[in-house]
Amino acid sequence: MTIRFKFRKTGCMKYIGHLDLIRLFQKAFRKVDFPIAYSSGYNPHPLLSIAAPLSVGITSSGDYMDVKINENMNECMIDKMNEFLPEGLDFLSYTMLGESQKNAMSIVRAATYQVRLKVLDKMTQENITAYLAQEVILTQKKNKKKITVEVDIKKGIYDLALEKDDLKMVLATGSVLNVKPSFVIKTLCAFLKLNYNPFDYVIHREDLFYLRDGRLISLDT
Amino acid sequence: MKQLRLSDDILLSVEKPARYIGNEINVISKDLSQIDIRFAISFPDVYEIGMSHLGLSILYDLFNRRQDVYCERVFSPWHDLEEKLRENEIPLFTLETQEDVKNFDFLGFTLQYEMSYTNLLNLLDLANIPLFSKERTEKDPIVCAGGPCTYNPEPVADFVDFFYIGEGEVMFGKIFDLYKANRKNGGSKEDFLESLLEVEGVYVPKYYAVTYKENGEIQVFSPTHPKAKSVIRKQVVKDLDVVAYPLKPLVPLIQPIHDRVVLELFRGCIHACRFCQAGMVYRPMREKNSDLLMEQATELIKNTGLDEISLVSLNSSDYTDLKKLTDYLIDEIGRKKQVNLSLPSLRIDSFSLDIMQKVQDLRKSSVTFAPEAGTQRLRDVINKGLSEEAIINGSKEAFKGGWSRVKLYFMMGLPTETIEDVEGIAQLGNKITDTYFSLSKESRKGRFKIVISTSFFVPKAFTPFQWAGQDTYQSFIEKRNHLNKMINKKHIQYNSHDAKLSMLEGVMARGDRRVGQVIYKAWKNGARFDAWSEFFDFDHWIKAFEETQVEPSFYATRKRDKEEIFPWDFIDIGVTKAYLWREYERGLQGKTTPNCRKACVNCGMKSFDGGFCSDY
Repeated sequence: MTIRFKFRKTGCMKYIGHLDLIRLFQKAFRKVDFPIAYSSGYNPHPLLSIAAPLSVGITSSGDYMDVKINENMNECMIDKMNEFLPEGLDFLSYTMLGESQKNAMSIVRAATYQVRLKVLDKMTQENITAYLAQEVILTQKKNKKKITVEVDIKKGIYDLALEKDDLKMVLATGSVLNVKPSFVIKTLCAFLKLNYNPFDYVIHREDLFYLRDGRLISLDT
Repeated sequence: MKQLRLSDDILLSVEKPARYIGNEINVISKDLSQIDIRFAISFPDVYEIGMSHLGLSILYDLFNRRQDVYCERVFSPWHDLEEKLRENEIPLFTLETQEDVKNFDFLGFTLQYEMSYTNLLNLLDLANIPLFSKERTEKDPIVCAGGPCTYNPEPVADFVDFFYIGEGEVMFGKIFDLYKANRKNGGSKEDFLESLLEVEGVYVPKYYAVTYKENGEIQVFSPTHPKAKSVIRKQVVKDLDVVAYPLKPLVPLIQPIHDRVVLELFRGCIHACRFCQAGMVYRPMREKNSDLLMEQATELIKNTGLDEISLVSLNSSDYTDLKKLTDYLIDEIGRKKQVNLSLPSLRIDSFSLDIMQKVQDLRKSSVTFAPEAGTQRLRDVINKGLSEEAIINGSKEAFKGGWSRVKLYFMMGLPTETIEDVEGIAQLGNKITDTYFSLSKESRKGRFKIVISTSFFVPKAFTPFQWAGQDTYQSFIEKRNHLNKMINKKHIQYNSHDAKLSMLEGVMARGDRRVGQVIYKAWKNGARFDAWSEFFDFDHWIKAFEETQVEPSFYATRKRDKEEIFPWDFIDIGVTKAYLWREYERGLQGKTTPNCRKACVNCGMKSFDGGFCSDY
């Protein structure tokens, strides 16, 4: 059996990296005797995986973790774990996955972001439209061999719009195509001839999506 | 949501920002309007080290049990953050409320190793608190310190308002009460420090003066205040079963050095290794009840979600109920909850190997011996009751049980050491190698390897060797090089400590008040994180010795006379100076002394009436 948790990472928990996050969840599971399954072998490890791990510095309100369990869990365990986990890290909901469902990590295709702008100079819908109208949007990126390569991120920007002081983004996420919000901000700044300071942009990831019949569907549903 | 002191542009540009945000599991938060005393407690090293220290955890828990006290933590910022703090003029703050340390009532340090002294100064400086006690005003926190290094508090006496000698559980309640009473009466800081003179175990250095002889030795050390005690008596908990123990310890969000539950079996030690300060200053041995420990272990696992439990003491094999306790931990907690048991400081014999076999991954773990000296003659000098036979038999048992790796710890420069003793280290390594290969091929498992580590002996206050001279730097290097040549590198790896660091430790460990100036200058020259090899720069210290005209050899390598007044003589740890001298002489003659369970040799501790001694 696999259970998919939706959780959020807010406040100062954004400074906690992926591996530390996993260690915290493991402690919470142990705390409530959660019926998590372990891998077989000499060094058994708990069977859990987090979809599209978040970079340090970004908060989220819709993250997902799949956990294999041996037996049904008791629902009050979730409250107990939330009580135990540090402020800013909470389980929001869960769903039981069917036998045939693939894990969250492998199906994620997109993420929505809300980026709070500290500097609004030149950030207008017209400028954003012009930015998106470019034939290619090139950025430098390190590939798996740690070599810097130039990539076109345009096809990974599904939507980009200004809403009051926020930039809303829908970006390709996951193993097929992955565009980080910082790539978009950096190239947008370059396009608008703005100095890029990463700390002028407070990034929050709202939710993760998979693809069904050509439509993006929240992992929550 | 918690307001952090540092902005993203700082936190996201330093290594491990979680070091500075607090918010850990089981962190204590309090309503400040109900708080009378704000205490900032500090381990002057990086977060992951400080957070692995049991003493800090005990005091944090103890202080916060009082409703009128809020104890928060502060550690040394790593060099990357230090730079940012200085550049942006942000004073150092505590993790819990993220408030300036300077605004606290107390700032308390635990001093665990001498090479953290410059970090103490740096921490004060980063908090905008004047370094010297005499320069601080009513607005500054009261700076106090405790821990093993403070059994000789003198090298840092100029920087600390008061020292607490002994175990914190005993007198801190009284200290807090006096602080509140003094404030209620509108008293000054000076009034408070004066009131501390009646508290046992508290040393307020400003009420004492030292004069020196022409040869540099102490002439007189005496109180300058009528109420100041001429002897400060160490404070010990008599019954560990009735004092508070942290059952909901903090669980860091990032990995500390030791990410595990810590169960304290007992305090003190029955052995009398003549080089060992812990063995003397923590006397008498006081065990905790095994039923209580089982209860606490269960509770601790439940409250932390950790998957490893570690038994802590100076020598776990001495714990009376060890079998009962480990059986319970393995069967009841280990198996049912997938919790590992870790057993440091265990004597290697068939009993301990049996336990280790149950709890450890043999491929990863190794067996550890600390013979400390290479020959039986020298082991007798230091009264280390570990024979070659025990080491060889222990290794043989371990090899048969499936282990293939052995770690050996030695000290070089012990009193009376000759070149044969140094060579004995290499020979012991060879004998263990022979033992391994004497076994049939079928019974040898894994890849055989020995790691030999040597440190350089640092004579410490309150040990029988407090009169001894430390080896010179030159001699250390010669011995190390000689040993390095002797060691069979095919199966043995050799590691050695930094001799410069050991020499400095030698100065600090038996230093007097004049050494404080050296620490100050070294810090000014840029010394910090001296215990970290990547930051340690001996030049800062050489320069500091030159600037202060302090001669390091006076403290480190000089052999003392029986009559000399030591800087720490005014502290009464229970063990008498006469006993230590007896032990020193017996050591030089190669005579061993039995442990406390075999015979009482009247070390003086009986006067404290607690723990093991009360059995007599």
